[in-house]
Formats: sequence, C-alpha cells, structure tokens
Amino acid sequence: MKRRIVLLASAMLLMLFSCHPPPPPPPDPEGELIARGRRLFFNETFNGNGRRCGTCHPAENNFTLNPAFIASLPPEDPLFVAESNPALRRNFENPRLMREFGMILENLDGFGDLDSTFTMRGIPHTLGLRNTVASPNGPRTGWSGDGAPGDGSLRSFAVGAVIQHFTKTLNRVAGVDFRLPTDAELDALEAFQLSLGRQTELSLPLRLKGTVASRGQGLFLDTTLSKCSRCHFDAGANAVFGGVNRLNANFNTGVEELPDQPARLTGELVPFDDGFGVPGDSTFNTPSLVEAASTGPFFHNNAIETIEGAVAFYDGESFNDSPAGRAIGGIELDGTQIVEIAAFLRVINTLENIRQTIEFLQGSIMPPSPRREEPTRLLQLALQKTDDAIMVLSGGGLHPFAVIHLRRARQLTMEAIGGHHMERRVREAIREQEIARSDMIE
Amino acid sequence: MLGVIALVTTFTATNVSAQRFTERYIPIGQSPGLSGKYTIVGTVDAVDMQRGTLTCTYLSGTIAARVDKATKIWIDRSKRKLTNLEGSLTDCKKGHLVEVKFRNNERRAGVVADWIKVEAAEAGGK
Repeated sequence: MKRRIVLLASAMLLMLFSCHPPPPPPPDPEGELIARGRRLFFNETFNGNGRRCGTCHPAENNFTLNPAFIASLPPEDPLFVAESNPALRRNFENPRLMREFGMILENLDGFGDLDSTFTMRGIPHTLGLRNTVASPNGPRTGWSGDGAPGDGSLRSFAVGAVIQHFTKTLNRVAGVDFRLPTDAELDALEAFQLSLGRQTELSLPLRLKGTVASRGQGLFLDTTLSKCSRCHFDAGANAVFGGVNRLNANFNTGVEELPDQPARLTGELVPFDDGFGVPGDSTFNTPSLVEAASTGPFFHNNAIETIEGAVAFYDGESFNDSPAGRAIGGIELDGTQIVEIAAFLRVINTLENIRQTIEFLQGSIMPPSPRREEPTRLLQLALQKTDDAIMVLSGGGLHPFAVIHLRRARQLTMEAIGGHHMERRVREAIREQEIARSDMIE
Repeated sequence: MLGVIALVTTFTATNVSAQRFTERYIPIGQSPGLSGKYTIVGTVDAVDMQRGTLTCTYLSGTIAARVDKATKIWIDRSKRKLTNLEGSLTDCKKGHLVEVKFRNNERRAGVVADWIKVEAAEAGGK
C-alpha cells in the first residue's frame, strides 16, 4: 500500500513537471528585426503597382529570377505588371526580354530619355550578402555596384527599388505612385537580407573526394593558370592582390563586348550597358561563386546559361581583350579544364545547398524562433534546395551516389510536408543529406 | 607582378558611388543615409549665376555650394503630387526649401554640390 502511494505521488509529480509550460524564449531583438524584414520583403507593396521585393527575389528560386521560374508564374503575377497596367506599358519593362531571358529594365543612367536610355539586366540573388557588399570605397550593391541611392548602402537599396520597380506610373511621385520605406522598414529589410545564405566565407582548399572537382579546385586556386581566385578569393566575391584582401571590387571584364548576346539577337533594343557610375566606367561588380551554379543565367546581362559557359568566357577574346583580362596577362584554358573548374563550382554550390537544407530541416523541428520561417515553409525551402542540389550535380554528371541520397532526402522531406511522422522523416532526411555530403567531401 | 599592379590600379580607380539619378524622385530630406547626416536642408539665400554658387541658410548658419556641369539639380514637386523635374540653378529662388548634397560628403563652403533638390515654386509654375 505504502509503495502504491509513493508510486502515485511520483507519477503526479512527474505529470505536474511535464505539464509545466516551457520557459519563454529569451528576447531576440535582432531575430524580431529579421522577422519584420522578412514580412516586408515578401508582403509589402509600398502602395505601388503590386510588386514586392520577393516578386523579383523569390525565396523558392534562390532569391532571383530565370526564364524557367518566370514561365511558371500566373499571368496576373505582379512581375508582369507592364503587360496589364496601361501606364506602365511603355518604358517600364520589356516583356519579351523578361520572359525569354529573365531581364528587367533599369534607368541607371537617368530618367531623361526613357525611350533609349536604359539598361537590361538580370536579377542578382540576395544570398550571402553579408560577405559581398563591403568594399574599401564604400558599399557595392547590384550588378554594377552602384545600385542603391542615398548613401549607396544595402539599407538604402530598397528605396531605389521601390522608385524603379514598384511605381504605378512613370511619374514616380512619392506618396502617389508608391510610398517610400520608412527608416524602421529599411533597418528591417537590411537585417533580413543580411540573414540570407552564407554568413561566413569558405576556406579553400576543401578536401574534396571527386576526381574532376578536385582537379577543378586545383585549377581554380592556380594563380598563374586560371587566376580565378585573384578576384574570387575562397570562391567568394572578394579580391586579393598582393596578399591583401581588397574586399568586393568592380572590374571591366569585357562581358558587354560579348558577340551574339542572346537578348540582342532578338532585335529588341538593348543599349550598351556602361556599368558603374554616370557616365559609366564599364566596370561591373564581382559576384560570389559559391552560389553561382544554381543561380544562373550568368553575368549582368544573363548572356550565358550554363556554369561551364561562364567559365569558358574567361578563355575567350572578350575577356582577354578587356582591361581586366590584359591586366592579369590573359587566361588560357582547355576544354577539360573549363569543365573541371565548373565541376568544382557545382560541388561547392551543392555543399552550400546541403548546408542550407540541413539548417532548414533542423529548424522545422526546433522550437519556433523569429529568425526562422514556420516549419512547413522551411520544409518547402529544404525541398527546393534539394532539387537545386540534384540538378546542379546531375547537370555536370557528378557524384551519382550523392544524387541517389539527395533523391531519398527529397522523398523524406515530401513525406514530412505531408505530415507523416514528421520529426522522424525530417531526421532521416537530414541523415540522407549528410550521406550525400560525405560522398563529396572528407 | 606588373599584372597585379595593373589590376589593383583598375580596381582602385573606381570610387564610391550611389544610384544618383534615382535621387530625383526622393523628396527633400528623405534620402536614405544622407539626409540629416551629410546633406544640408535649408532655404535658398542667394544664387550667383556667374560664379555658379548657391548659398543657403540652414540650422547652423549659412553655406555656399559650388555648382558645376556634373551637379544635378532637381525640382521637388512631390508635395503637389506632381512628378519631380530636372532643373537648373535658375530654378533655385530665394526662400525656397533646398537640400544640398556635397561631393564626397564634404559639408563645407566652396565644395561642389553633387546634387541639389529645390522645392518647386508656386502652384502652376515649374
């Protein structure tokens, strides 16, 4: 009897303990700021034409646009506002170039002659911005590094984007055609954007297992042959000359001189893009390469579709005759070497995709945090990143064993989204991601 | 080594720059990261067309900015819900609200203005 009472009392105490609500999470002001920025980024139209930051930088497409993603959008998507709003029919976008090549129109050289003074550019992703914006001469945003008004900072970028892309009419009157973001909104948008993607740089060389990617890494780091790492130190967006990290830099690499640029083949007006400043100095900003393989097309004008083609550009006349090409004494690569460097870029991109996927998967089964999206959304993002990893590896014929495990991880993530033993499926998916990673790197 | 030096030279030749032309559509006092920090918001005190200077009175006193060919002048009509226009020094009339952004953010007399925003004249005018 006494034993029963003790057992009963113990059970009651256990119940009381287990029913006690968990302590509230500690305050996280930065997390709250990021959460607010996320809401603004994806939902706020700033009283404009219906576009949001996420219209051109959708999370489900690596915060960029390409023709395949654009083709999947419904006709009423605000991206296509130039096709439905009569006030924006002329000189706001070129719908053909948008749909066929993922290009948007920018009036970087002024709004005085809208018929002929504009540039057509791709949309840079917003991943890893923490590593790619700073330069000794101030912040670098956008393809030419001068994308933001005001002080040119990432924080100010949204103001320019609203004026350029969110307006209801080409009058661009603040308070009528849009409203400008407040200081608090700019703070939140900046915090959110800085939270995206990698927060630190890679440290090369990596101990890669694949023969082709390993050779590609060797070539990439060879400062006398490929010379890639001079401007893309650790495969990022920062340049190192003479042992000094010069951070993010602009160069004239001759991309604008490429013959047969796809957009120009259409016969549509695509004015010469003079890059940084007005008048431009023909330099463009250096993007990070870690995110490259899953965020094509490549270069400011979306001129090249594949990562192999992007590497091959540096073996061509346009680059070798350019100021940057001449300054480094040119680059001469053979076909195998081009593919090997591209294989390296595919593998580091996949490793980053796996890193992010695991982060999303782990987040989906952790207690809620303002820093993270809600669990189902995280699982959807994990699915998208896994799809990217599969596509990037398969596209280069790389690591078929890893691809098999990534496909398994995908299936498990799908099942987790479906709600079947969610936590167990998520843990299994993480395990499959880890197996895939271990096939590529020690 | 020469290549590295040349590349460094190419690299350092590029100076800090923001998206200057978008400023046209940002009302006086609202330029992000500049207004209230590096620009001066005040009223036009005097304009010397021959010398190419604009003097304005602001909270801390009076300051004269130089204007050259590269200086952009915009007429801010946003309070009247009209589109802002490109203007010139002749549009800067005594007593009008004005914002001056100096080159390289050097907020001192005699420095060339990077851009000037001036509030529009009376309704109906430019």
